[in-house]
Amino acid sequence: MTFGTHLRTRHEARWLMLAGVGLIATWEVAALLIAGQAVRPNSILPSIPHTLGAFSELSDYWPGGLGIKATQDGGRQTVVAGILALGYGALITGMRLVLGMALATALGVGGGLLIGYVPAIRRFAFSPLNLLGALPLIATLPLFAFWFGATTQGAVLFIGFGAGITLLRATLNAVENIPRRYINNARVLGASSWMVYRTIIVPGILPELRGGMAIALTFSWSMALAAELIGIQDGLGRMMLLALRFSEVDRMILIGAVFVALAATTVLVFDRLADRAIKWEE
Amino acid sequence: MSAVNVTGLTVRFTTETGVTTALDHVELDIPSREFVVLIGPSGCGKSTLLNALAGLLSPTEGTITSAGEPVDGPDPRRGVVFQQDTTFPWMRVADNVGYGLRARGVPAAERNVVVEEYLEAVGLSDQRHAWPKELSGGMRKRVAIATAFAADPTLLLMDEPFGSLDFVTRTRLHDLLLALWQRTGKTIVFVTHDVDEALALADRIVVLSQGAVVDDIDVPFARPRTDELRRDSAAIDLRRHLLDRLGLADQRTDLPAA
Repeated sequence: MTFGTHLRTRHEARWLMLAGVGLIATWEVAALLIAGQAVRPNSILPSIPHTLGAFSELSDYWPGGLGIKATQDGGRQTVVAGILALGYGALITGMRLVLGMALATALGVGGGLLIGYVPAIRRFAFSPLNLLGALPLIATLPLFAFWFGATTQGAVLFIGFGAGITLLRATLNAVENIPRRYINNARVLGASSWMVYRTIIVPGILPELRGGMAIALTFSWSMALAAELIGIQDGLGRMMLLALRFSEVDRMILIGAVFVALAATTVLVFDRLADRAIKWEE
Repeated sequence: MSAVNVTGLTVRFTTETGVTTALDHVELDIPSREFVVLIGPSGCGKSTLLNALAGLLSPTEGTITSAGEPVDGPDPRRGVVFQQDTTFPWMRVADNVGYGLRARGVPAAERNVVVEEYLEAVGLSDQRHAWPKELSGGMRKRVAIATAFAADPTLLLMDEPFGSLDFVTRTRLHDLLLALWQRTGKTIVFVTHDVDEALALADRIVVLSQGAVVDDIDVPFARPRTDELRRDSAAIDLRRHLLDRLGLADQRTDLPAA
C-alpha cells in the first residue's frame, strides 16, 4: 500500500505541476473578475501579487524577541518579522501535533497491541470502537476545551484522543487481518504465544497500519488547527483566526499555504520512513 | 515405536449447511523413517488428516499419538510444510530458516551453523540475506523446506507443498526432498493428489476417499527412481490401480466409439 504525495514517476510530477499552474491561473482570473465587480475585492479573493505583498503584514503576529519588536510595541512590518511570525506559529502548532501524535501512537498502537493480544477482548472491542469511529471526532473538541481550557494540554489531549481512536481501530483491524498461515507456521515451529505476537503479529501489521497512520497524521493537523481556532493564544490556527476576524483573506491564504505545506511535508517524510521500515513488503 | 499412530480418528465440522464428516474412523500406523504419501481427490480429508496430525485441529473422536505421546496441539517435533507460501515476508531468508531454532532458544552462533548447513543443502546460500519477495515460488518452497528441516522435527508433515509449482521445479524439489530425507532419516507424511508425485516419492501410499482409508499400498520400487520407472510394467500397473482408486482409470478408453 502506498500513500501520500510521494512522487514515483516524472509523469506524476508533470501532472502535479500542471495542476499547480492551473490553480494559480484560475485564482488570478477569478481575482480579476471579482475585482471588477465587488466593492472590497481583497476581502473576497485578493490577487496573487496582493497576497504576496501581505507577507510583511504577518509581522503583526510576531510577539517580539530576537531583537525584533512586536508591531504593537512600535516594531515595523517587515518580511523578516513576517517570516519569524509564521515560523513561530508553525513551531508551536507543530509541537502540539508531535506531542498529540506521540500520545495517539502510544494510546492507539500501544493500546491496540495490548487489546489485540487476547482475541476475545479484541473482538469485544470492535463494536464500541466502530461506534466511536462513526462519530465525527472533531465534534468532541468543545468537550476538551471545556475540560482542559484553551490550553496546549487540551489541544494535545484532543489530538491524542482523535488520532488515537483512528490508530486503535487501524491496529486492531491489522491484527485481525494477519494471515492465519503465518501464525500456524510459527506455532508448528515451536513459537510461544508471546513469540508469535512479537515476531509475527507486530511486524505483520505494519503494511496495514501504515495507511491508518497516514490518515491519523493528516487528521491530526486538522485537529491541531481546530483546537487553535477555538481560543488558544498562539499557533497557526490563532493567526488564522485573527486574520479571519478582520477579513484579511490575503493573510489567511498565506497562513493556509504554510499549513498545507507543513502537512504535506510530514506526510511525505512519514511515507519515506514507512518505505524504509517496510522495505520487505511486496 | 511408531512415528504416528491413528486410532478411530473422526473429524466433523459444523457448517452452514449442517455437519460434515471430514474423517470417518481412520486407522493408520506409520513406522519411523517411512515416507508415506496420502493421496486422494479434493475433499477426501487428506489435508484434514494432516492438520490433525500436526495438532492444528482437534479430533471429534479417536486418538492420535506421535512417538508414543498423545497429539494435543502443535509441537516442533512435528514439522509442517504448508501448501501456501508461509515464509515470513518481514524476515530475511536466513532468519526464516532459523526461526524454529530461535523458538527453541538455540544460541545465535549455534543457530547460524545449522542455518548455513540447510541453506547450502537447498542451494540458497547466496540468498541468505535476501527478502522473500526477491525469490521465485520454487525458491520460497526451498526456504520452507530448509526451515522445516533446520528445526529438526522427528516427523515432517507436508501438505501438497509443490502443488503450485511447474513440472521442472517440482521434479528438482522431489530430488532435494528425497536427498534430505535420506540424510536425516525423518518420517515424512506427504499429501498430494498427483499419482506420479506419489510414485516418485513414497515408500507407501495411503489412499483416502470420502474421509476413510480405502487402500494402503507398499511401493516396492528401488531408489533412486528415474524416468525409467514410467516404462516399468509393475509401476504402470500400480499407477493404473491408483488412478482407478481416484476414479480416473481408463477414462479415455471408456469413451464410446464415434
